[in-house]
Amino acid sequence: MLTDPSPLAMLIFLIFVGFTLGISFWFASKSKSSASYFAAGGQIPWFVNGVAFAGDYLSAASFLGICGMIARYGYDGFLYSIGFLAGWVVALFVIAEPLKRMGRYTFADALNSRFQSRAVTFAAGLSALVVSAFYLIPQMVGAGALIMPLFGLPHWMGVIAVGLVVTVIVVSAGMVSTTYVQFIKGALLVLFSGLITILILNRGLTSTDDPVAMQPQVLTVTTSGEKLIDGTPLGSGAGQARIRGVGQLASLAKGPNGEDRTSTGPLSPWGFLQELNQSQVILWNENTQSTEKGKVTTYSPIVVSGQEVLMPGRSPLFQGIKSDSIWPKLNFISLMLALFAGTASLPHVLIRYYTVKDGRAARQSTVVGIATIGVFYILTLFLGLGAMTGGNIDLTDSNMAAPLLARTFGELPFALVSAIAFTTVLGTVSGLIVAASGAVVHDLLVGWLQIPLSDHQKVRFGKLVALLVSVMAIGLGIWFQKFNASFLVGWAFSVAASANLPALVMVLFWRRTTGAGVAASVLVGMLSSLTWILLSQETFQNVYGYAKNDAAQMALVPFSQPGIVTIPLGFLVVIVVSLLTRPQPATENE
Amino acid sequence: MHFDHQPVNESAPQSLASQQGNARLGMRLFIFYTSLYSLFVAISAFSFSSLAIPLFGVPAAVTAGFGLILGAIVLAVLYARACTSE
Repeated sequence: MLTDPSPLAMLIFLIFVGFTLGISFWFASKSKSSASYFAAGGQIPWFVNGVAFAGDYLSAASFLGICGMIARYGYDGFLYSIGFLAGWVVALFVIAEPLKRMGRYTFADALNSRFQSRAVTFAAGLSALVVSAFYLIPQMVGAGALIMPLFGLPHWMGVIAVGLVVTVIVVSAGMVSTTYVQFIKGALLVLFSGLITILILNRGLTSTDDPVAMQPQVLTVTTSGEKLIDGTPLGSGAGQARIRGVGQLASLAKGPNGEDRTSTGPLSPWGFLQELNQSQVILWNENTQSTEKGKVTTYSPIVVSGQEVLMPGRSPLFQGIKSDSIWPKLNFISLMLALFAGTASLPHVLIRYYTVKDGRAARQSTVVGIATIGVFYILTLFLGLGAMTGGNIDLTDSNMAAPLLARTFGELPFALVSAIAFTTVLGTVSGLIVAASGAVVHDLLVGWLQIPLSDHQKVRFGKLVALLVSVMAIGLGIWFQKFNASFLVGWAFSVAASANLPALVMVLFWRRTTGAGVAASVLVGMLSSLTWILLSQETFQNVYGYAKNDAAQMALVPFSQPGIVTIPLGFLVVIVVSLLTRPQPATENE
Repeated sequence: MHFDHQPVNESAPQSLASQQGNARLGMRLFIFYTSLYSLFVAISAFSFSSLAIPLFGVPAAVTAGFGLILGAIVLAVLYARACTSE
C-alpha cells in the first residue's frame, strides 16, 4: 500500500455507492415480472441501452487491467484495447439483428429457436453459466484492488464488499436497475477518463535525476506470512516501510534549440505520444525466488527507450512475439483471435439485445456502444502512459495503476475515479449475475429439466441463483488475487468464443445445422478450452503454485491461449455432427 | 456443403428484403474490417520490426492501433446510416 486512506475519498466513494443502490431500489418498485427481471421487458431506449453496453463491457479488466498493463509494460495493454473493440465489429455486422429476432431472454433461446432441443438448451445454459463465472473472476479481483488503497483494507474485504453490494442490486430489481446502473457508470467512466487524460496532457512529461528512482526494491513474504520491504516490515507506522511508488522518465528529448529539458509543459494528445517516443523511460523487471526466508521478489529498474514502450513485446505475456519460436507467436495470435471472436459470444453482452424492442434498436444501440467503448479504449493508452510517467505505480499490484494515477492529481480525483471504478465493477458484475441467473432458471431448470415454474417462481429462483453466484464470485475473487484482470478476461473470452461463436454463426448462416451439432459444438468448445487452460503453464504457475521453470516443464499444452485450436474445433464439430445427424423438424424434441 | 449468404430468416416476410440488404452490407464491412485486423495481427507476429517504422512521429504500432479503433467507429456509423429500417 502506497498511501494512507483518505476520509474525503471514503466519503465520496460511499455517496456514490449509496446513489447506485438508491437507483436499484427505485427500479425495484417497477420491476415485477420475469420478462422485466431478466430482460427489462424489452423496453429500454436504444441510446440508454448503447451506453449501458459500454457500462456492461468496460469492466475492471478494461479500466484497471489495461491501464495497469500499459503502466507496467507499455503498448502491450493497448493490444487488449484493440482486440476488445474489434470484437464489437462481429457483434454489430454479423450477430446483432438476427440474434434479436431469434430470442427472448437468453443466448440459449436464440441458439435453440430452430430446434426446441433440450440438449441445445442444456449446452447453451451450461456454457452461459461457465463463461459468466469465468468473467466474474477478474471483476472481483479488480474490486479488491480498488478497496485496498481507498480504505486501507485487505484485498479479500474488497471482494466481499463488492459481492454484498452487487447481491443487493441484482436481487432487488434485476435487469432494469442493472441497465441504468450500467448506463450511469458507462457515461461517468468515459467522462472522467477524459478528464484525467486532460490533466495528464496538461501536466506534460517530466524527467527525474533523483538517484532514488533507480534503486531496486525487494519484497519478502516470509514463511510466517509477514511482508518486508527491503528488510523492514511493511506498513505506515514507526519502524515500518511502504513500497515506493515508481514511474518516471530518465530523460526527455532535447528541446528545439538543442537544450536539455526536464519538463515539456502541456502537450497535445499526439504531442504527448511523440515526446514519449523520444524519451527514456524507467521500467521495472520483476524476479521472484523461493528462499529459506520465504518468497523474495526483487524489482529492478531498467531504462528503455520511449519507442520500445510504444511497441508490443515488453510484458511476459507478449515477449515471445519478438523471438523466432513459433509457439509464442501462436499464443499471441490465439489471444487476438479470442478477443475478436469473444465479444459476440459473451452471454451478458448478448442478453442486452433482448432489452430493446426490435432489430433496428439493437443495431442503433450497438453503434452507440461501439462509439462509447472506442473513445474509452483510446483514452486507456493515455491513462496507462500517464500512470507509467506519473510516479505513483504500486509494483505489487498492476490493477491499482489507474486509481493511483488519479491520486497524483489530488484526493478528489482519486475518490471520484475509485468510486467510478467501483461502480464499473458493480455494473459488470450485476450484468454477469443476471445472465448466469437467467441461464440457470430459463435454460437449465425450465428448458432442460422441464420444471414447471410460474412467472413469480422464475423471479424468486432467479434471485436465489443470483445470491449463490455472488457467493461463488467472492470465493473466486479472493483465490485469483495475484492475476492481472486483463489476463483473466483473455481466458474468459477464449472459453466464450470456443463454446458459443461456432454454434451461433452456424445457426445463423447454415441451414443444414442440426440441434445435435449445436449442442456438441458448445460442449466440445467449452470443455476443450477449459481443459487447455487448466493444462497451461500460466495455470501451473499462478493457480497451482509451481515455480516458473517447473510450471513450464509440467505444462501439457505448448501455449496458454486456447482459441486458435478450440474455436476451429468448435466449427469442425458443429459441421461434422450436423452432417452425421438428420435435420430436425421445427417441433421435434430431442 | 452450402452456406447461405444471408442469416437464416426467422421473422415476418414483409421485412425480408430489408433484413437481407442489411445483412449483405454487414457481411461486406465485416470482411473488410477483419482483413485489416488480421493484417495487423500477422504483422505483429511475423514482421515485428515493421511496427517500429515511424508514422506521424510515433511507431506504426500506435498509428495502426488508433486506426483500428477509430476505423471500427467510422464503419459502425456508416453501417447504421446505410441500413434500412425494418
